[in-house]
Amino acid sequence: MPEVPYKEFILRRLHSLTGIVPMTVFLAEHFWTNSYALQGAERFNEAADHIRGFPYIILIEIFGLGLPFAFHIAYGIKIIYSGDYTIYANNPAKNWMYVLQRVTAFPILAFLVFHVITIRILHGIGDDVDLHATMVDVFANKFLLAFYVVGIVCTCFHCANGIATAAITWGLTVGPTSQKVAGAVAAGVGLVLSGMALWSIRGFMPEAAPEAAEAIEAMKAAPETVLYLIESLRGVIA
Amino acid sequence: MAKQRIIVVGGGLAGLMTTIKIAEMGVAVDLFSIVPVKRSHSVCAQGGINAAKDQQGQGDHPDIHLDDTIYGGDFLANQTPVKTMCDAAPQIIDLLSRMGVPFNRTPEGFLDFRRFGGTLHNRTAFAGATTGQQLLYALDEQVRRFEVAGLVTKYESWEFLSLIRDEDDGRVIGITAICNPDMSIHHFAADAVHICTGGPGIIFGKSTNSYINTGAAASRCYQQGAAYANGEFIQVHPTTIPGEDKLRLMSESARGEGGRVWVPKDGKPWYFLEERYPKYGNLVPRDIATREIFSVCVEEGLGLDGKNQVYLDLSHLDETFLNRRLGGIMEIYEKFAGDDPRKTPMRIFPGVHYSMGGMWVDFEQQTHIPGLFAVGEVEYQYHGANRLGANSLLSCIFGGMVAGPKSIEYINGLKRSADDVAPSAFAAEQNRQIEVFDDIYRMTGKENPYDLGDEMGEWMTNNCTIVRHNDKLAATDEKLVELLERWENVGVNDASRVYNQYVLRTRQLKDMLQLARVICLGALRRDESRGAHFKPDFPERDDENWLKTTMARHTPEGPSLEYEVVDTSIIKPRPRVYSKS
Amino acid sequence: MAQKTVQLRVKRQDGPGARPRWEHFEVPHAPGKNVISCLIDIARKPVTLEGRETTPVQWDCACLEEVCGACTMLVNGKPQQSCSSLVDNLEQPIELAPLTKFPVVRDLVVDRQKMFKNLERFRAWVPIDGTYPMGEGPLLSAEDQQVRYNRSRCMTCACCMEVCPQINGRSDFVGPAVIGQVEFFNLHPSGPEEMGKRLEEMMGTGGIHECGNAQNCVAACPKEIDLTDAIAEVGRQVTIFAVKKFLHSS
Repeated sequence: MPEVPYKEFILRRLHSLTGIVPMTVFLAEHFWTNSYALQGAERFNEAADHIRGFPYIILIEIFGLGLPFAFHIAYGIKIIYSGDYTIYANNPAKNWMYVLQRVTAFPILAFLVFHVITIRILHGIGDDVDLHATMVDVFANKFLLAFYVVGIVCTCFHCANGIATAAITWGLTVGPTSQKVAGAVAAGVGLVLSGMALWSIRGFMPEAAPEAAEAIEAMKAAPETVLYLIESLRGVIA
Repeated sequence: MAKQRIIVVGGGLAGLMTTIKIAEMGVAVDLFSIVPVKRSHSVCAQGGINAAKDQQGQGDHPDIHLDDTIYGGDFLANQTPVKTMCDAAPQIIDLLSRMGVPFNRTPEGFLDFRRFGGTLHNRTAFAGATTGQQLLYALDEQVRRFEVAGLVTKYESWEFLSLIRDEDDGRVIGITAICNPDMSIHHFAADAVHICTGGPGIIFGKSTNSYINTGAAASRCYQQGAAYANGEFIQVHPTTIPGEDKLRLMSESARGEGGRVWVPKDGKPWYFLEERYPKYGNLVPRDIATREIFSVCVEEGLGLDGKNQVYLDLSHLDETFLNRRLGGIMEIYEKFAGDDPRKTPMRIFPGVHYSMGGMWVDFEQQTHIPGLFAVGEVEYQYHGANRLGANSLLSCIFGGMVAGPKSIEYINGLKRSADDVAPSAFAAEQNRQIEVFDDIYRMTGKENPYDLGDEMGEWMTNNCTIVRHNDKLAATDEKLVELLERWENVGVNDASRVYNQYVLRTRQLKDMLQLARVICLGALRRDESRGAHFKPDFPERDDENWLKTTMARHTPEGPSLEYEVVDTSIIKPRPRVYSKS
Repeated sequence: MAQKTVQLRVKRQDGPGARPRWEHFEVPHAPGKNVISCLIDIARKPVTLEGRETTPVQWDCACLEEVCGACTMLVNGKPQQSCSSLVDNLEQPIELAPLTKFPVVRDLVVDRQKMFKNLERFRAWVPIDGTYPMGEGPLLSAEDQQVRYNRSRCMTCACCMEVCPQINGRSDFVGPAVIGQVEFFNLHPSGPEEMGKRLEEMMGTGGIHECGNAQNCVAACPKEIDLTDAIAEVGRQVTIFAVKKFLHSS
């Protein structure tokens, strides 16, 4: 096979690109759909069915999402392997962002695999699907709920920081000022995404009070995680 | 004739310019440098480089540049090469600008020029306050281009040890050098050798010079037969920051941009240079500013807090202006002295800075040894008895532009190449050098080279710098002889054959002591005052007896001094009086 | 507070590949003293704090005023020039170690040749036609000069390389310093051809894409070179160059 010129360069830029489109774009769409749950099970199921009913949905899912995801993950592992994880004392905030971007990849990956297998594959195929009910069952388990919260927060951080660094990589933000502004915008995107996702979990809480209380108890982890996210992102803004 | 090669020893401005010129003409160069060339001492040059481009409507002209240089050097410099240099200067600036040196610019985008000492014209092009670094990098980049093209081979972290000379005609046919990382000694053949190894400031212990500026290479050539000229002319820079390990230069450009020198007197600032030299003010030549500061501190006892220090004040100038034009030196002051010179006056005192003297060369930069050329601070040619600020970078580059082509002319005229010489001649010198180092490794005495070096530095600084007395000079020479004897008693405590600085320093020290004697005895003999050489017992310049170049030759008994007439074919010597004129 | 002595812990290594060890020294204190003066003191009398005779510590240095870049080492874990490391500003015992991203020659001396090789690879020069008189160089605005000057102060000291998490045995990243130089030369109005060659090389092995945006380099640069600006700018240039190249390729 002939040597592809600039292979690493192209792969690395593709890695950056796949992180933004389709992943971040898809995420926004996904969380938007989730938010229908706040309007009730029926509305949510309608929205989900609408999407699942897209023409060519299998092709979109495989080639528009699955393959880019798989590539992003595979090449991301290479990137993670090639990095150093000591913190330089003169630059802790941004160095931590570098580390977190890589470290969060692992919970994200675990969450993603679990989520896709359990929801999309095991419960999401067929004509008679009640995804809302499935999710209510999932969130009734407080460990799974916590797992979801962590997964969502890590994903949103990874996206937000990814947007900020992609802007540098592609040369959109060159100077410190534009990088700060882009960092703030990216942090905003991350907060909106995670806020939307976490808030919409309320739409999947069971009616029965005891379980709900338990679930809400478990969700206390969420604000803390979000606060941590904000703290981390302040590094970008600072 | 076999394949031609030329060796350049030293990777500062002079060595790099020489290399570029030779490589440009298609001849291969082996470039030796004791440090990676980007770390050469040229990086320390701050203020700028002179060229009478007259871009500010002041009526400047290369002839005025020539007159300032000759007059500033107290008429000791040969005038013909100085004139050629001043004439070439504007083109040199253009060349550097083409090479991409980020010189400061006027609002329209032309080169900016500022004023320096010993002139009334804005003649100095500059890149912030790190001009030497910027020029060095530009030349380094051009050399790298030739390196990629296969014309230049760099030997970095290699130290020059000796010349190899042809047994029949004495011409240079190569060198020996030591590779510091593994301390191995090798020989290299060449038809011409350029020595571009800079000044000998470390002989004075603390100076503005880099740690590597021992003068050892020049001394080794001198000990192998090259004459050393005007060694006694050592420039003491008026404004340096006193430090534990070195005296850090505070560029003359600080005064060029409006910095003022003062001490408190009767409760008020006394701007003694401005008062005594109304026309030149703070920008009198360095020898004069140095003597004034010395006398204000030492003779009048007006130094700050009773110490030998005066103020150099920039605090009245605009911060943005200062940052753009003097950023580099203000950083140095902030880092090493801890105060912000934008807000508080700097405390400074004179310190050894530059050697006007050096290896004797003819107008083609060739020494007495055929095929041996010298360029830059290591030679004596352009600055007479006192160098003007911002002329050193110029002389390095100009010297290289002369020496490179002249050495090619020289090798083209050779009947036999170095490659035609029997290999045994090279091996013999290599073995001799290996022997010298083996002897050093075997030394087991009680002395160490650092303490001996300090002692040399103290004696030289105390007695052989700003003010010189014959009795003290004589005592200093005796001390140097004593140190040479004590050198035999150095103990080498490091047998390592990997990057052994202790051993290298031991070897350098002996060569430094030999060269120190040249400086000291030259000063002792010269009974007059001229430029940087000042003897209170002989306070006047004595053209009748001393308008001549000192030439030291090495003998086993020490330096033997001869004298040579100075070329004054262009400007008739006149009294040097900056207070009026 | 003036102290009477300075204590140092020095990481020693007798040669390439030799096993490192730590030695403890004590030298006299003086006002304004820097790390290099301490090392010279050790060379004068190479005896450890425990009274054991040893060899003088080896280090690199030249200018002693932070413009040559030679004396970079880890001082209390941070890469910096040992000449401008004043002992009064440092916690004691002062820990000295060689840079970790370069092969050790001996003790604190490392081999940074790969940085100079990078300059070769990325054609860090202005391609002048010759050194003969050819008139003035190009005009340059004072603003552009300020940017170029900032980049041009790089003394190849390797601080940025040392703190860059993307430079290690598992990556072949060329590092921030040379990217700053690429921007420096691309800013020179000497024709787009050289710029194209530099950018093309930047897309090659270990090129700009290996940057991980940790932005440690700019924090570590002793000359305050805007390295992250340079990286982003060259990133932008490469993006445009790559797209154009692709669109024009046959």
